[in-house]
Amino acid sequence: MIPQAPILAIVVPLFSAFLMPMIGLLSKRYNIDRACDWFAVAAMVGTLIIVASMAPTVWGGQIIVYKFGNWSPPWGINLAIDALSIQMALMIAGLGTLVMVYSVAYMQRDSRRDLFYTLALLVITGMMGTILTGDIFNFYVFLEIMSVASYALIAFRRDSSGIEAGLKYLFIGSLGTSFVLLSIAMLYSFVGSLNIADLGAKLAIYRGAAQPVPTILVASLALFVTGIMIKVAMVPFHIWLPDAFTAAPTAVSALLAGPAAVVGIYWVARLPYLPFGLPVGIILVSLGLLSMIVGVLMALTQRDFKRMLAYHVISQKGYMVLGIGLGTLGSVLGAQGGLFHLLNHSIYKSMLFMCAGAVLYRTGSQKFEELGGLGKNMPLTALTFLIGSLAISGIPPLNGFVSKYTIYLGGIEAGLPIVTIIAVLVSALTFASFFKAFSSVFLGQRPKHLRDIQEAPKLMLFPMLAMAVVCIVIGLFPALGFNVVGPAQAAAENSAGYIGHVIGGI
Amino acid sequence: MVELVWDPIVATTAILLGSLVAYIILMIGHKITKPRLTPEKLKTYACGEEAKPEETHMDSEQFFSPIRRIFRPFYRYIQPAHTGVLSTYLLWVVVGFIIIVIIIMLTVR
Amino acid sequence: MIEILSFLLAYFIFPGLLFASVLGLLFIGIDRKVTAHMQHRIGPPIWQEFLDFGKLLGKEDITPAAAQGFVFTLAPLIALGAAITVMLLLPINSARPALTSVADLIIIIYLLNIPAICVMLGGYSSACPFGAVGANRYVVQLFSYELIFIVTVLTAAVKVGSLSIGDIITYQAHNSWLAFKLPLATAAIVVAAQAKLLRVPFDIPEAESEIVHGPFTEYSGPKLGLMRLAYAIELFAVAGLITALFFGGPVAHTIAGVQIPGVVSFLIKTFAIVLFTTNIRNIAARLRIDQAMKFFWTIIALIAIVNLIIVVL
Repeated sequence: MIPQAPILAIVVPLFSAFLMPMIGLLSKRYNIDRACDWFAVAAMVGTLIIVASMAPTVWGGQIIVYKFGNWSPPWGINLAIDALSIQMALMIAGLGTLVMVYSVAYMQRDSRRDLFYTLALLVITGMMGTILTGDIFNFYVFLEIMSVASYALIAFRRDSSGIEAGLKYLFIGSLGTSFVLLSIAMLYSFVGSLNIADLGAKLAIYRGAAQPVPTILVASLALFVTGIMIKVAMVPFHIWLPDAFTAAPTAVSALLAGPAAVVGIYWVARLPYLPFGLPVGIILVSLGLLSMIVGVLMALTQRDFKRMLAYHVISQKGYMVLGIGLGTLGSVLGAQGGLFHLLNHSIYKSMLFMCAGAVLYRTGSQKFEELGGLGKNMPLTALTFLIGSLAISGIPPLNGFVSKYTIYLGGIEAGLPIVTIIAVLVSALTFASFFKAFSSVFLGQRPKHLRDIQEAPKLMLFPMLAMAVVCIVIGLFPALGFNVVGPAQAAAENSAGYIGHVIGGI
Repeated sequence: MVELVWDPIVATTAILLGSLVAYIILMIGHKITKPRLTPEKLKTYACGEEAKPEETHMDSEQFFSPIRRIFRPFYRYIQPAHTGVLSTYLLWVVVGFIIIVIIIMLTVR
Repeated sequence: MIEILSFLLAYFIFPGLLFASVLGLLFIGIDRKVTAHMQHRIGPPIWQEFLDFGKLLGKEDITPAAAQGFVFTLAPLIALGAAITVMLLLPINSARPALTSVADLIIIIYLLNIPAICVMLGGYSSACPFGAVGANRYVVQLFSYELIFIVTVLTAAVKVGSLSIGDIITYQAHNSWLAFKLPLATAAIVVAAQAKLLRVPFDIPEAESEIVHGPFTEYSGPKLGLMRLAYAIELFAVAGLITALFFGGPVAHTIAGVQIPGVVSFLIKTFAIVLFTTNIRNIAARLRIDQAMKFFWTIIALIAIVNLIIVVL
């Protein structure tokens, strides 16, 4: 492990973001064309190496605790990294690197690229901070960093639909984060501590109905759950997501669809155990089912490529929340399926958005009516889109099948076969919707104005093909995924171990 | 560590092996008769008419009209609810929050 | 080494490619003969499907100019591969199939979907409007019958208590056939099989008088032969699955001191199911796609779910 690795994982993207405008000025002065882009990619590769160096220690069974300024918890802020955090951190760093490589090619026609990379690196900083921290107010600070940077990124191109989508996300997202802040304030006034492990220890007396739960705790839990559900875009809080992902530049959509989902689901996985420890399983299962159904039924009738993909993001996040909810109702397979689905979904969803972005970059349109028969012009893009569609529908032998199958088994294991049946139906509808998308864009007759379209640029193809290869590899060797997800699920449930490591082992 | 409930390598190898056999049969067929291509043979079959590419595209919203007919209650009430007006959305957020408060009060107490 | 050899033997000879294709094409031939007699004509000989396959191998193989050639060629190949793999997972001779795995019922259902997906992709990639309409109808029909398949298979699995097909056959060997205990589920799965195998009244995706053979319109020569071969193996596999799940599967008998292997009883039962679907095929007329979907989603789904609830409670 690189020394001081936990704090470096947050500091490297943060300082790169601050250095970016200076690099922009220097590149304009000395006329180096893509200095900002490659600096951002280098920063992300550095973050990936730092996070990867922490992984073997955590998977060996240890929880890394890093204390700021050597103040011991619960008086100081600390970072606590267990197997759940390391899974999320690896996903953010890895997918962030690939999305940065993609945006080198995608954003090359835009002018203020240094602003774009500043904001993108700030989003990555916020995500890393939310995942790695052990202090709940610190979590709120990083959540706000991530949210504000993404509001600005969505409206980056300053066209009317982008600004409208950014404003909608701003209003609804700010409502969500203010709910979280209010919940933290109530918790602090009730318990007197802001450290997650300490809160878990002090609120443990209310677990299992040992004592009656006071109203302030109920209100705090409800506010926290609502805030997190707004971030995860569960129905009925989901409505910012289709507009935001359609109007944003596609590199931003790929960044938000993949890694940013990680943050919300990380907290959904932690929520039933720390810091509250109160049963929220029913809420998770019902919101998950509702999101799955509403998301896919709305996606069936869309005319716009990216909007359909955005509705499918809602539906797939419903799968993850459902899986984790089944985990709280006693099914180990359900929780593992939910976390594994998060891993798979981030990979293939970013890949699907990248394919849509490649088509948009070359043809200039993202509506199904104007596209068709591009399979001959863009064969590699079509191939990766086919792999992504088969993965998201849960067709063997790709990775989507393994995680969905685990969730089906989890539904049967938890004693709710109706959940399995609904999940299979939603899978069939997902397949139908992606079949329509793939056929309308890549197969069929090709209109005359699309005859001279070229293949996507190589820098765009490289991350797409890398993600396709990872999809196939995880599909053929699911043990690789279960090696990451199994310890993560065990660590999420093992709240006593977390508390012991952070507070006990000072 | 959960034990794996599915071993994909054997099934994938089996499918690929079958595809290989099918490819060999295809090659045998190509050896027996070579295709003699004329422009008329390569045209898309439209019962003798000329099919223009723009006309053959299916309408993307009516693509799944039978499924829309089955789920008609959903499409009558919930799809128009996605109006685009921000104030309605914030109302949904507040309504959802109140429902969550009620559920937590009932389950936790 | 022995395992690989026995796997290859099972894959190519029995119960894989040779066995399944010979019997599948034979069953379709008998089906055509029976249909002809029910329609008061003589009809083709039983070997007609073999002759058709040989004839198609010798025809020209033309890919339309506007089609996406890669997907167009790949579709029949993967369809045949998946169909043969399903045959490996079915118990033909004894209660143990050639390839065992832990929860193979789900795998069989998924593998049986792959030929359908390949047909859809082939239909759309042929860039023919008839192919597009046929593929579209096939997607809707897939959505209709898939639920029934999954619910009925889950019913059988919950009744026996395991997701492995070998266990279901052993259970039926000790108790009576599952068709007597779960009659509603049996009726539902036979109707769903009618839709899965694209037989009247559900042959809407390849409606010959409406859309000129649907997704298969632009296929010619060896590729069409491979598609029809995949269809024949799929017919045998689906009928075999219903036999194994609900009608006892392969049971070895001893009649008058002669040991009859389980294959014979399996073949007789499968043949009976194919004849039953032929019967329905000749009596009914073709439905419209939304009528078919409404039929599946109201009546048949009700039957299947009622049976599932009876079993679970």
